[in-house]
Amino acid sequence: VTAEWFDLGQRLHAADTRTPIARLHHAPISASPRPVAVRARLSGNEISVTAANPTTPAATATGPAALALLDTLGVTLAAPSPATLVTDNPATLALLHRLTLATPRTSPHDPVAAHIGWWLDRADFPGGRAVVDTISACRARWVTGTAPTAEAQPATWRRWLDLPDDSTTGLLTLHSRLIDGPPLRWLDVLAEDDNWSYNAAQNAYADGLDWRRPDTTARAALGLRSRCDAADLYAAAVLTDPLARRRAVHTGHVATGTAHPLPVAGKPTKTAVLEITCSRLDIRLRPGNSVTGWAGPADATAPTFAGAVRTSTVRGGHLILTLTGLTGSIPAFVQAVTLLPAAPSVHSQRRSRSMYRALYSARRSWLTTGNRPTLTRRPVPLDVLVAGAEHPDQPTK
Amino acid sequence: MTRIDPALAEYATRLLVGTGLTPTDAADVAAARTPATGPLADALRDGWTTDDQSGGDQHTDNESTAHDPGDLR
Repeated sequence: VTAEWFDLGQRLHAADTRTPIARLHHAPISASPRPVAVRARLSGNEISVTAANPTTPAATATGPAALALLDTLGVTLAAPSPATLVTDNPATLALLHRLTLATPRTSPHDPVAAHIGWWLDRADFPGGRAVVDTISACRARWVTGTAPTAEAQPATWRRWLDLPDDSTTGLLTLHSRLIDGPPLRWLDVLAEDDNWSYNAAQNAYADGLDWRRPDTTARAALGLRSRCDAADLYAAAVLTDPLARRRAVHTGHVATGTAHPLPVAGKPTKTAVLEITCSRLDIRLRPGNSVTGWAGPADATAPTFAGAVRTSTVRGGHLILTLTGLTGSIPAFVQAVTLLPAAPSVHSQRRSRSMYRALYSARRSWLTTGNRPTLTRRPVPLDVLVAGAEHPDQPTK
Repeated sequence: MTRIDPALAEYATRLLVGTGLTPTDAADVAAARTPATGPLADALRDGWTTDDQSGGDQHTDNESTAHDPGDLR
């Protein structure tokens, strides 16, 4: 794995040119209709909040008045669409949460507190637009000619991106810079999920449910499932960017090599198996993985083919992947190819979550009753048996 | 010659332990001012040449949507 050296090459180039170098051609976050830049700070026992949106200049308030300030900026569940929290201070959301916990349910600012609760719920969804940490987004989009530790400081990004304004208004300018250009693929899907979740939060609030209550088992399970789906989709979205794919060659997530199509016996024009001789050994594709590929280098344009890895072996010092179930544009003999994991299907993810939700809401499902499903037996693949026998926690005798 | 700030120099020195290169040597290898072969040189050069535009202002590619990895699902 040579990704660290690849990154160093980018950093040295940035240092040489005195300008940031792009990690992605695409924007790593999607545009937001209602961004609100917020910084919260703790002074003694008091939490002070400075906030601004594109139409309202920055203002600062302390304690309960901070919620009133956010209300004037449209941070309330009463708003028809969600506001996006834009911040460069990792402590901000936690401090806002502390403010909300001190707010009684009878407070006129409870809808503001509930909106902050929704931010808290959505903050860890990769690629979502409920909460934008500008530092993480900058690190996803560019690399500077300094050490990685310096990139954790907002001042480093202001200096390298030539954005001297360190106010919350300047934070909105940085956000505009981050969303400039075409977004990564599927960010619109992740934004739709944010909106769906916002509507659900509004409905729950209207029904009188207290957003402060701990998650039920069903809600926690669905939340975990949704986060896993979002993480899978975002990882696939990043690999749609040619610059990210070029780096992913060095992490082993993208494979390059040469193709050796093997025809079906008696049908020389039909390919049954495609052997890929990989240029590196540290490829992360495994037997059973679905893959997508094309003829050409990792950052090239070409019609794609799809298949599944059947075997992965090392021959003569080279990793050989055999692909079956091929569809699409099969590459020619000894043509250079690029392979990467097939992206998850958005439709399948949503259908699967819907089924999961139904199982948790049905009174008699095995998930809600806690009863074990009926035992059924079926043939177990040899690979699974071998993997079980080799499990480190269960040493074989 | 590439001007390298002290923090980057320290970081690069740690990354290059055992390679026999200094940060300045690495910059020369990455920029192809010094001929070198092998995984280290390849990775440094690949990183150096990924993008020649600064500030993320270039969005000229359209290939990522052209070969959409989800097309065939």
